[in-house]
Amino acid sequence: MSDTEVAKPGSRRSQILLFPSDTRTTDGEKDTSAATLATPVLTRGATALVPHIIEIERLYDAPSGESYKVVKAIDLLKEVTGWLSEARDCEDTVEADQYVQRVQMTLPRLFALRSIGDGFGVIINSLNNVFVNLRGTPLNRDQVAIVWRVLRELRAHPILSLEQGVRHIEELEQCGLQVDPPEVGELLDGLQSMQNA
Amino acid sequence: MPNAYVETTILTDLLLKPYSHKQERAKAALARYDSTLLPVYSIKEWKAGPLYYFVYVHNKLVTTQSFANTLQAIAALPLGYRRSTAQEALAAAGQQLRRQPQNFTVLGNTDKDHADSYRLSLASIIIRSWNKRRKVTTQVVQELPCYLEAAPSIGTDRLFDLSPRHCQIDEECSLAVKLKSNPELLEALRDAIPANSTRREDQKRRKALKHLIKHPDWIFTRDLCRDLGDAIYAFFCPAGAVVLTTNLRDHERLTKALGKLAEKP
Repeated sequence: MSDTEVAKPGSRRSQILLFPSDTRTTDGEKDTSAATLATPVLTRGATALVPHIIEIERLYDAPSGESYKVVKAIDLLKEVTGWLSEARDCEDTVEADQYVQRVQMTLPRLFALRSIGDGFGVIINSLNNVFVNLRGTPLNRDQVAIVWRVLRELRAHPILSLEQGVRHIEELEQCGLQVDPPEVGELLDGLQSMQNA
Repeated sequence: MPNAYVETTILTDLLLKPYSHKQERAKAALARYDSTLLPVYSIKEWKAGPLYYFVYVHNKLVTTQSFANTLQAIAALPLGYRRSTAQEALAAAGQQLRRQPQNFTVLGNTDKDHADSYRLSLASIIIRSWNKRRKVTTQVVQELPCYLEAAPSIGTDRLFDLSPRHCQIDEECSLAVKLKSNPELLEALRDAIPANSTRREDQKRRKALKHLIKHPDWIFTRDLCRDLGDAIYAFFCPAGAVVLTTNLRDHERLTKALGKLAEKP
C-alpha cells in the first residue's frame, strides 16, 4: 500500500500502528506500549504511521552518550526559550519574571550537560553569573529578548567552540548584563598589593 | 583636562576587575580626559603579568579538575627569595580566596563542577579582555615592532597558551634608539631612584638606566627594557599628557624628575 493510498474502512490493511509520544524506555523495564493497534484513519500521507509530527528533539533521541546529552540539551533549551517567549509577551512584570526564574532554575540541569562543548558550557555558566549579579532584579524587556535570542541560537547550534560561545556572551554584555563572577577581581588583589609593596 | 597616558595597572583594573570599585574608578578617570592614550608597552606588560595569572589559574583548573586543589596549589606556591612576583601574587590571592570559599559564584554541586564553572568564567574573561584591550582608550600609541601582540590561543587540551609573552630575543629593543638619544633624561631618571633602595625593582631599574647611559653602543636587550619598567612611562609620556596609574608611589618620582605628572584615577 502506498503512502498516499486511501484506506478502506473495515479492511485489515487499514489497521495502523501508533507510536507513543515518548519513545525512550528505561533499561530493564518492559515496554508494553511500543506498538498499539488503533482505530483506522481514513487518509494518510507522508506521516501515515504517526499520530502527530515527530519533533526534532525526539528524532535524534539516543539512550546514552554525548549525542544523548545534545538531544537532552536541545529539549531543555526548547523549554527555556518557550518560557522566555512567554516572558517577552507578558505585560505584567511580575509574571514575566516568574518565567525568567524558571529559566534560572533550569541552568544547573543545562550545566550538567556541558561536556557537549565548551561553547555551550561557557554560555550557560555566564547566564548563571548574570542572575547572580542581578541579585533578584528582574531582566528588562531588551535583556529578556537578548537572552532568548542567545539561547534560541544555542538550541539551533548547541555544539560551539569556546570562541563562538564567548561571542554570544559579548552580546549579553553589550545589553548591560554582567556576565562574570563578581569575585573574579579578587584574584588580582594579591597582585596589586605585591606590586605596590 | 590634559591627555592621559594609560599605564598597566589602569588597563588591568578596566579589563580584569569587572564590577569592582576599582574598575568604576578607572572608567571614571578615563572620562575626565580629552584623550586617552594606551601605549602598546602597557598591553605587553598586562599580558605578561595580570592576564598571565588568570591563564595560570585557568590552566591549573584544567589540569587538576578540582577547585579545592587549584586553590591549594596556588596558595602553596613556594615562598622564599627566588619566588617571582607572579608566584607571590598568586599565593596571596589563593590564600585570600581560600579564606572565603563561600564567596565563589559557581554552578554545580561537586568540586569538579566548581572547577569547570570557574574555568569557563576565566576562559570567558581572558578572551573578552583580550578583545577589548585596544578599545578602552581613545587611541593606542607607540607600537612596538619588536613585540608580537599575539592573541591567547587555546589547544585541544583546553590549556591556554599566551606565548609570546615577551619581545623577540634576537633583536634590539625598538625603544632603544629613542632612549639612547636622550642621555640627560636617562640620568635624571636614574637620579630619581634612591641609590640605597633595597627593592629589587629599583635596583634593576637603576642598573638598566646605568647600562643605557654608560654603554649606548651596546645592544639594549628585551630584559633590560623590562627592567626599566615604570621609567618607560615617564620617558615616553608625550607632552601635554599625564601618566595615569594606581601606582603613584613609583611613577610620581620618575615623572617629576622629567618635569611631567602622574595621577591616580
